[in-house]
Amino acid sequence: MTITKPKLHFSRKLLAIPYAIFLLVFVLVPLLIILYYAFTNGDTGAFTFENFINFFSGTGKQTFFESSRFKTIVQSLFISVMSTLLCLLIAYPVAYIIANCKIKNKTGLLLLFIVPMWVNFVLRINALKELFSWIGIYLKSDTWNIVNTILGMTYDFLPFMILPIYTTITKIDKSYLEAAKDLGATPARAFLKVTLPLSKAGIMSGVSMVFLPAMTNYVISNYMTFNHTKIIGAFIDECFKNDLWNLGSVTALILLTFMFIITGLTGGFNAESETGARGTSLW
Amino acid sequence: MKKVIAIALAGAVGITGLVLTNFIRDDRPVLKIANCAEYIAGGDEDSYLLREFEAWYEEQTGKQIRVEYCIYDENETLYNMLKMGDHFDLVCPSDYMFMKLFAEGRIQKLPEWFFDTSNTDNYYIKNLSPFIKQTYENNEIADTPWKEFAAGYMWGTTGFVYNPEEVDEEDVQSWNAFTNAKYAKKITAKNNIRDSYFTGLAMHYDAELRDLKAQYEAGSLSYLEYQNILKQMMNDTSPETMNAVKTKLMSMTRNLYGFETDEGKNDTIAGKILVNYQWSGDAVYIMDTAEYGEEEESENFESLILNYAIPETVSNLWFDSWVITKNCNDVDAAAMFINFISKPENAVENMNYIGYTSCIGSETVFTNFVLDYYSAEDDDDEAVEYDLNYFFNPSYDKNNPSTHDDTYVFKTPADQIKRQLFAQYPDENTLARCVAMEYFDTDANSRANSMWSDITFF
Repeated sequence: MTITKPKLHFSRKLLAIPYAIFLLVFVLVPLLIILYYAFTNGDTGAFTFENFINFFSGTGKQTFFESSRFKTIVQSLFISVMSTLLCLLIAYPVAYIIANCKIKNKTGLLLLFIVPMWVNFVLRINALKELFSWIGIYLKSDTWNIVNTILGMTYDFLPFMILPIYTTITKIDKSYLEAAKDLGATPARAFLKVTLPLSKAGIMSGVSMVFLPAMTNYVISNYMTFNHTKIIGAFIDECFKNDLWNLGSVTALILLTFMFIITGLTGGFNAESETGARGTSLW
Repeated sequence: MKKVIAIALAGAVGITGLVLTNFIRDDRPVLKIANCAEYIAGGDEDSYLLREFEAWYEEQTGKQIRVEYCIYDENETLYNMLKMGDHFDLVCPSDYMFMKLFAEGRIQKLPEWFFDTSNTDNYYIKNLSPFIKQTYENNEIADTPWKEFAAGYMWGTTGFVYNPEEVDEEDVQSWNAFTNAKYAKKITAKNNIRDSYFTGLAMHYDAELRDLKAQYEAGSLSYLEYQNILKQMMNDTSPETMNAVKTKLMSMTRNLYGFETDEGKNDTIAGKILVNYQWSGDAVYIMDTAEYGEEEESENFESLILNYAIPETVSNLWFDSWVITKNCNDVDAAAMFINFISKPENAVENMNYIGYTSCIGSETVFTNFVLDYYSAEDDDDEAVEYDLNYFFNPSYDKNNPSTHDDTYVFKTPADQIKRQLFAQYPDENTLARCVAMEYFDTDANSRANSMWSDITFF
């Protein structure tokens, strides 16, 4: 007996077409445009490395490492790392507790942390700013400005860290923990040897969802510090605003390369395959 | 449940379809206009003035038209849109930007019939303020006076909005207010290169500017000579000057509450900022709101009286103008829109709504706006005289006293010469020291940008 295949075979692969189109239009094409502007001359449109040389050559008498450009990058990096760590520090226990608590309506509990996301973020940041102003730490000093930026970023990106971690923890097979217990592991040891490694995919996913936005979301830093604390996103925005598209594109490209390296180093590309936990990544 | 969702979805699709077909069926030719947000009476794309224009246009020409109105946040955004090839027929950039657009050939000259004063429907040319008219003749780019391609919409100055109870009036007469330790962390500057560069230049050239002013007041410099020297000085972008300006601005940043664009308005009204460097139209909004509150303000609202000052050495004079793009589909319709928006009664409506000052200077504007808002009560003993001949009197010549017309001199409450009236219509002497900014050329632009990143990283 032969099975005749229908001529128009609807395979599951076809479902990926809309996503592929989305990727092409909103990721690949903009990337190509950035590449174009990064490698061409503003006046003639000729191919050049000039923009990269300009970026790294510093301004005036300063070398690149003394320039405000470099300082901005370092400052962004610091803010971003701190925000990500702080997010992780808060999000992991929260996700762990919600995932393991005995109540029935876990989704309700989770919603408590997600609902704030439904309020426009500029509004939330403004409210936080007013709160800080009332406490007296708004615009107090340069150090406070950086602290406030970190707090603002943490506040805004926290749900992005909680969600993936929560999903991975709920997916961990409870029998692993039971086995650990049977073999004599203390709860702390079981957590360190079983839960933590198995939730790595969620952590990686959360980190990558927080790290990049925290480097570029200048709306938060501008609001929280009345434009005092400058991050790399603000610099890129200024370039485009002031008709320096080539310099802006170069900066964006350097940031992108940098992100790729970081993601590669932290194993973000294969986090999923290591644990085999499917669908935990939000990407 | 599924059924409900299905029906709802079907309904949504149906409605979208209807809306879409409605759009497609509207085959009236389109006039595409771009303007700043909140810059027309009645609020942007829903403004009743746009609908009235469509009716007026049909009445005038017998043809139908549909206005498509887009908004942008700042000149640079408009520039990027035009550069990326977005199509507009009529746009409304500021002075330095329309000069740049004209120099780059992105806009075209206004049609000849637009300047025909014998045509009663040419509201713009017939009602334009003599002051604006003269400025648009005196300023030029690429050997073309502004008036040939730009039609004035709103204009104003920049200056300090301050709280007179806590700020010494003398201090805000000088640009050094920015570095004055008295106002440490209580004063703001503008968060863009252009305005801040002007600020830095004014601080850098302080002594020279005072000297020039003395010469002008002593009569050894004519008005035009004075203006031309100021214009050159305040548009100096040579590397040496830019370095000096950078040093000035660097020393200023430590003293600032911060750089701001719009964020400072609320903090000024709330009293957190004592001195706010501001555009005159926004200054009017801030003074109004601080004094009377928003409409829905609660009863325990505390009124705050704020003043506006223009530094005594120099300040920035700016003009937002309608210009017709190079690839405009219907130049005549675009020019007719300028005429319509320049009808004195429409100019008054716009001023009431926006708070900025219109370039239109006719009798109607003077009576229905200036006198209506600013003339003193009859029993006000402290009222002072205010002279607006320069702006409203078409035959006025400052060197010829016989052209002076007392109709344009009126009594106003004494505080108004430091407040809204002064912000909307500065007196003639103040305006003599105000000049427009030009755009940076490619080289200066890139230098200015790296200067700006150094300044704003603090």
